[in-house]
Amino acid sequence: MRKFTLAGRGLVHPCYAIGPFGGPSCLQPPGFSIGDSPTLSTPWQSGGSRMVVVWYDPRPASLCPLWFQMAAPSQSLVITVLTVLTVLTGLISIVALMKPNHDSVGSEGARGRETLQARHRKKENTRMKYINRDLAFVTGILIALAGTAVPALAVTSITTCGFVISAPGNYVLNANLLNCTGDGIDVLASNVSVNLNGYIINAGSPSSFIGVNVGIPASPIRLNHVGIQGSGLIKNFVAGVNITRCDYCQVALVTSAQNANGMSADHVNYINVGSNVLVANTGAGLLLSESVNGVVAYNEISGNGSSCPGSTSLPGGGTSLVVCGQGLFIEDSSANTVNNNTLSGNLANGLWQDHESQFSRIYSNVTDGNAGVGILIDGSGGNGIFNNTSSRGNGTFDLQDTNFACGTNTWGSNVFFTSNPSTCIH
Amino acid sequence: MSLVKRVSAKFEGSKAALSLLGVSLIALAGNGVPAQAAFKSITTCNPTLAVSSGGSLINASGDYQLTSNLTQATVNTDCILITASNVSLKLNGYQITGPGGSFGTAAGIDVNPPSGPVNHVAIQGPGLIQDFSTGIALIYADFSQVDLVTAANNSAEGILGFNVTSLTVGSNVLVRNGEWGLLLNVSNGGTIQYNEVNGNGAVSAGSGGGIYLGGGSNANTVNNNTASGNGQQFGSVTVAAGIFVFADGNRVYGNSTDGNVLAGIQVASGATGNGIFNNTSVGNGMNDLEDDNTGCDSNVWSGNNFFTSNQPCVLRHVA
Repeated sequence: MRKFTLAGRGLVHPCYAIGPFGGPSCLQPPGFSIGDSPTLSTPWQSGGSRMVVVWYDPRPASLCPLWFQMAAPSQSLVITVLTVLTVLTGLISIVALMKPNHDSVGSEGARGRETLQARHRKKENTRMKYINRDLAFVTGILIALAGTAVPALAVTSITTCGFVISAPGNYVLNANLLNCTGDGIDVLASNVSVNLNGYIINAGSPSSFIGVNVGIPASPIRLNHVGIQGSGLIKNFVAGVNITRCDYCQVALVTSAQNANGMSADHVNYINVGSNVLVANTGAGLLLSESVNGVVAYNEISGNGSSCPGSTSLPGGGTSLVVCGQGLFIEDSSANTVNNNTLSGNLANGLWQDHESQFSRIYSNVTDGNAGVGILIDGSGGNGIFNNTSSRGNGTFDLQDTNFACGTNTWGSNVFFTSNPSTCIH
Repeated sequence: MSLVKRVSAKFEGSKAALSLLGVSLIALAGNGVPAQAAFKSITTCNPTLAVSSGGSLINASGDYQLTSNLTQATVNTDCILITASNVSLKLNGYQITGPGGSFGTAAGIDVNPPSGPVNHVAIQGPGLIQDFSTGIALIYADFSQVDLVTAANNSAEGILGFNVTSLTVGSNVLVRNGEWGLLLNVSNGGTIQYNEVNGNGAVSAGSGGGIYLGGGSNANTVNNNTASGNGQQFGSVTVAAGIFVFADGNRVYGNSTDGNVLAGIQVASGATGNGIFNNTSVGNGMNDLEDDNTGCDSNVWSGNNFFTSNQPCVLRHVA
């Protein structure tokens, strides 16, 4: 059950609500971590508009992948905010008026009646002062919202291939981007949301470019809070979506198919990849490299590797491994959570985590019918692999841990037929 | 009657009742009340020998079960052969493994009566059938059903139905089979639902995919299956779909058919009167949804979520 906390009662800024669901785009406010109680000391300055978090969702990131940024308060939102504030103020007033005056009982005998009445008047004045202040506050909010105090965030339309985003803001596709001869969209700025809006980005035929490329090439500068949101189809690129050096970024509801790799992420922290369809890519479904604290949840990553070239270089260069045909390949990454994905029918492994990755939580996934292993933990430790609902019919083993006696990994409550070693995989 | 007589009569009656109970107990201790028929165990792959004789030929009605993994090392030889009606077979979580290799003619479980159709054959998992030509073959087996079975890495089909009426195939995992996960030919009135049919068609054959409703397979219901990532042939591909319909009057709804090499759902030329609705189909190689009949003929497409189709008569979901 979602629990919402009202933070920053004394709103002094023109405010927008950032709700858990229902908005047109999805960005977690910079400076906030999942579970924080935002306060007025951390307003979100974006696109020239000041934002203050009113609502937030304290659930774990895996359960709450989307933070929604409201570009401008809709009428219903205004009504909602006003209603909440009005009710809150009313409650404050009622409580203030109905609260019994316990102080007067004990002090009656010790002090004179005049003193008591004076104190009563003083307390009532103070109480009314607070009520008036609250009413003034609400009135101010009403005036602010009724007027033009809240500037709308601009939404930039994208209609052509090769669109470069170099400034924060909201961007939305309003046409298919077909037969691109370069990247479809390049994102070079932080605090950006891109809504594919149901459109298609393709390269016509397999190309060496990228559908949506997030990150500044050949630069140590890191981006943050970039959100790519579908629905939308990206195909025929070397990668459908590539994210490099970006923190708190996310990709949701995107279909990436017939690319060399469906999606790749390199040197990213706190990435959230949720509810995407990464299928029928000729290489791998999703590559996660040198990244920590990410969440990969509720994705369909199936049928990848139909035309493996033999080897594919990892994003960022350096190591060259055979990643083709992997559903999800986790390389040199730690503390990631992989849950509720379907990783089936891939031509190598469903999920392969290499020896330099550790402390992953892998649970509630379906990994059936992969040509290699359903879930392969290849030499790394400290991982928890549990409650995976089905790992059956895979080519070599359903579940495999290459550590002796599973090392420091914990396998429990998984559903499978074959495993190696069978003594420690449960 | 005096009190003494009445007490004596009661006592005599009680003795008679106790005597009757004693006789009954003795009878029950013997063979008076037959126990519920026990499951007959199959412990080896020998389809030429009846189960009652230690083989794996089921030629009599009854309940059967696996109590260990079974392996068939001989090529082109079934593991379990069923030729009788009213049979239930529980796999009990065990595996049936064939010799593997290239195409053959054998099945892990072959329901194949030598004369006339059988009916009401139920095969229930969990259990894994692998490395045969076909995982489960049902031929002339009406009102039969297969549930909770995993059929993987068989060189042709996971489940094959031929001349089967009212077949139910539910909640199975049919993955990584060489041609089709499930293939029906000349089979009517069946229900195919809640199966995972992914990653099939991975051999160098010209045809392979998820679910195939072949010629004469009419009036079947195919719903709530996942048929994704099928048809990954390395060679040329002629047919590779998540769900391929080459028959009439079928209902195909609530399925997810993503990332198949050619089409997500394809209705072939000449197949009419089918209803295809409320499916999700994205990221397929050719068209997500495809109807090869001009103007979709009498096929009705509605409420589907997809990106690509070959005709405007294939209608999408309207929010």
